[in-house]
Amino acid sequence: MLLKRTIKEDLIKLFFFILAAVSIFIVFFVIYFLFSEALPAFQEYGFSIFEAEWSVPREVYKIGAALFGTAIVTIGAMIIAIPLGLVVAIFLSEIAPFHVRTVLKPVIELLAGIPSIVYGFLGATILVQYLQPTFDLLKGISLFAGSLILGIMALPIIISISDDALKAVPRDLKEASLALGATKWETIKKITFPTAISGVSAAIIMGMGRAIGETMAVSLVVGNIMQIPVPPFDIFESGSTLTSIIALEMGEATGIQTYSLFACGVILFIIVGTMSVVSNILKERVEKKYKGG
Amino acid sequence: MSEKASLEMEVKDLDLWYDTKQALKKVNMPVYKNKITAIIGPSGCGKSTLLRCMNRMNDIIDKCRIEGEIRLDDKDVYQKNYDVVELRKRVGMVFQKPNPFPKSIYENIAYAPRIHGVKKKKKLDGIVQQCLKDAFIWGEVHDRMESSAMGLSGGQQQRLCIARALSIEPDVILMDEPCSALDPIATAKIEDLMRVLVKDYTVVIVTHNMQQAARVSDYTAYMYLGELIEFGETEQIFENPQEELTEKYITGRFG
Amino acid sequence: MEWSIVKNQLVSFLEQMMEKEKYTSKNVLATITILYSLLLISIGFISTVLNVYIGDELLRILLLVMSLLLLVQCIVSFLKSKIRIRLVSMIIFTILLLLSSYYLPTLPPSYDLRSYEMSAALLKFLIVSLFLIIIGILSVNYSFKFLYDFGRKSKQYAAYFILFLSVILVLYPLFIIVSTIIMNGAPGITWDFLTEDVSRHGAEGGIVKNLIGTISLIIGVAAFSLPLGIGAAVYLTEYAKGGIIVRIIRIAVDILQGIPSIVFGLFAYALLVSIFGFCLLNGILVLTFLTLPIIIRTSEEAILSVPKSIREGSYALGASKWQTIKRIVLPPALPGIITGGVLGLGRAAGETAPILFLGAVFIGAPAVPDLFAPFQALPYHLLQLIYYIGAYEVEQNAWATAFLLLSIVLGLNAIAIILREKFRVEF
Repeated sequence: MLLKRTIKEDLIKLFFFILAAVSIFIVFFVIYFLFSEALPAFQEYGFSIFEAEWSVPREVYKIGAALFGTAIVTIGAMIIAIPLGLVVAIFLSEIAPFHVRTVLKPVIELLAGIPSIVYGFLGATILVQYLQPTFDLLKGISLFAGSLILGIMALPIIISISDDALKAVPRDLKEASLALGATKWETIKKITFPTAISGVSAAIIMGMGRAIGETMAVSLVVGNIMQIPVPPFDIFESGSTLTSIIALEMGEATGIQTYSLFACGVILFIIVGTMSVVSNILKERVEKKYKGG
Repeated sequence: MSEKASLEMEVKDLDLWYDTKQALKKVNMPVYKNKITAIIGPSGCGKSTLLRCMNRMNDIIDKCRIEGEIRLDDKDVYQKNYDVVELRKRVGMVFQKPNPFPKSIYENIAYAPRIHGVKKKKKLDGIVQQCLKDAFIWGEVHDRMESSAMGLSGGQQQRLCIARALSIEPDVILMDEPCSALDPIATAKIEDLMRVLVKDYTVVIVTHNMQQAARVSDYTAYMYLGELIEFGETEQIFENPQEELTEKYITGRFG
Repeated sequence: MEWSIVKNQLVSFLEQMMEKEKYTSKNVLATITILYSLLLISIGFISTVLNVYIGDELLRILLLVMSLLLLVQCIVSFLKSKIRIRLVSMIIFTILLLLSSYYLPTLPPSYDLRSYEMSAALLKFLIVSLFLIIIGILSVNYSFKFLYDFGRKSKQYAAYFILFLSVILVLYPLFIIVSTIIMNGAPGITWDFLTEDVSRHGAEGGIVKNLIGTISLIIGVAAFSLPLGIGAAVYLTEYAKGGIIVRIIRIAVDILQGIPSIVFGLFAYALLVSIFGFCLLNGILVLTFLTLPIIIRTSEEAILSVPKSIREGSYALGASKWQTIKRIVLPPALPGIITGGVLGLGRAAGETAPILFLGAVFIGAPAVPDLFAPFQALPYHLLQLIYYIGAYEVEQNAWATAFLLLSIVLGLNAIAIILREKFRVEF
């Protein structure tokens, strides 16, 4: 009776272990296929793959322009999303009265739930048509539009995770500060926010990860021209990002072009994967800080 | 007080390590049938740890190593191939903070019998009713058996947990500071309950409240820093402690 | 009913801000200035959004009035306050404002940045609007300083004001998104739209096959990812002893969670197309990979939220580990698990990038969903319609498709949240 029960329990444990281990397998497969498909491109070009020369007729597929585009668009998005996001997170967690918070938080999560193709659709119709007369452009499609859209898309993540981080700061810390005569705002500025900095950093990293990895919304507003604008800081020109070029050309790519697109995928994987792991480490550090104390 | 007391369980040369820190040192203690044994001592002396060894609840904790024996029915419960499930059917436990399941009052009591094979509804009903009566809580809940146990007060929840422990028909009931989360009136009810239960069960209670130990128990064990310093009949321990450490502890409180 | 609560909140908020004292001249002055600044900010905001310029004359008047109000504040502060140093910045600001009321309307209609090699121009209305907004914010800042005697409280309320504006700024895009989609899309949802197939490059006809395709994807993903994800979560929370294998699994889940959807698409293209060709099964599998980490995470959280004490209660009654998990741990965790599941499925339903080159087609999918045949899906359909916008008259249907897709995804999210609240177990 005891033996039968023990065997059953062990089998059940094994069953669940296998289910959990599936994740490892998936990651291995992803890494394997991505890297093996991208390898020919790296073999062909070596490090020069990061130069900006992409030309279908001349059969050169170097992805530098896409890398540049991703960088510019992400920086722009973060300029918008970080200050706004942190400020709204502070409002949400510290200032908003209970009723406002119960309404506002789901609303922001709603923003996060909107599919990226819908963002892309609105971007391609409303945003682009707005930008064109506003800045006297030939066309509204530009890296600037990409930054704007990505900024909006990264906002809910930054807000949500920062809000969690701020809410996790123990009440006694805040009460101690207030009891010493500080105003609420001073408490937020000097005590609450600095204490939550790990969680807030995690939030920013995740927001950046979203901006870098976003495909549909950005590909519909950014123009998909594989060139670095002249001069480079002209964000009102069209461009490409790593994600948009894959989405656009993968369907009909052959040979070296395919391998280069996979190379874009590899770079994306490395950058965003690292960010994801780092931000989770940061989040765990936050938890440990509070459980230990 | 001097009637022949028979041995229900016996702790023999018990050592316990959490990782590298030794929490129990060569503890020897008898547990007499149908008597209340109280384990007292300052915080951190190992009394809860000792209690949890008796139904092998320390198995759940990582990095816990045990040497020595705890004998029930002349068998060491820590020997290999000893069925822990059977042990826990004979030695039940009530915890410090009431922990009813988030289910109905009925389901809380019916849970263990179901697990151990009782299927017929009539039989389950009977068990549930009997346990609730034995725990002095039937009158308060008999008309809302389907309502959630989480809606009861702290004292009621604890009596519910006692009723739940009774549902497996144990021989021994272990109580880990059962009243420390309760107000004085609820505490008094539970102490009354203990005096009634001991007629049919053996009770071992850990308490940080010396007056409670003195009120309620037949035998008392005093522990300090993982060692059992003194064990004896309660009256003797409190009026005439043999060990200096025991005396210090007791007089320190009575002041 | 909620509106009166909001109204009361607003009233008490204003009262709080004005500290309910009797209306001293200081309070009145500050209030007027703040309200006027709000007016400027609103004008600036509206003119940005509508691309209109308010006109030179109006601009001049607005700025002059603002300067006047600030000037009065300066004078009152100067007379009443002992610490005159702090007034300096406010005085300088007021003077600059006076100057701007002359100078600003005389700006040329646009600054061509093409001379700086940027391909854009800064139009006057934009400059003016931004200027008005900034002026408004600074004036509110100074008004609070004036009201609270340049003390620490003034900093607090000035900060609160900026927080408040930011919230409005963030809510604005959401408002635009939802309102335009509803206004433009809802009329397109006709019975025909929902039941007919794609025709004439999407300009006519409907999206029934796309709807069926998306639903098939959701069902398929649920069938694969829920058991896998919940099972993995059970292992990680209940059975795992913290060894090295568990750390690796956790890192794997973290990595999976971060992978961009297009990268999943690439991976699936490399792996699945060679095995299965272009078909629905590919779509289901790749979306499962995408959803799995979400479900594992949310299920883990739900299971962890069940307190240790009731697990111990179950063990102490002689229950085995599996019995405890099945009967005591999982039931209260179920609402959280289901919420996470529905949220994950909502995300999968809206994804376009992963299915782009795996088997999604614009037209020609089988009438009954076939695991091994190509499929149509709503997000992919919307994408194609966007490409067709110049060439064919697809706009009406594009909005309708967007509306439908948004409704499904947000509907799933809403259901998840409602379920979570309704079945929440309080410990």
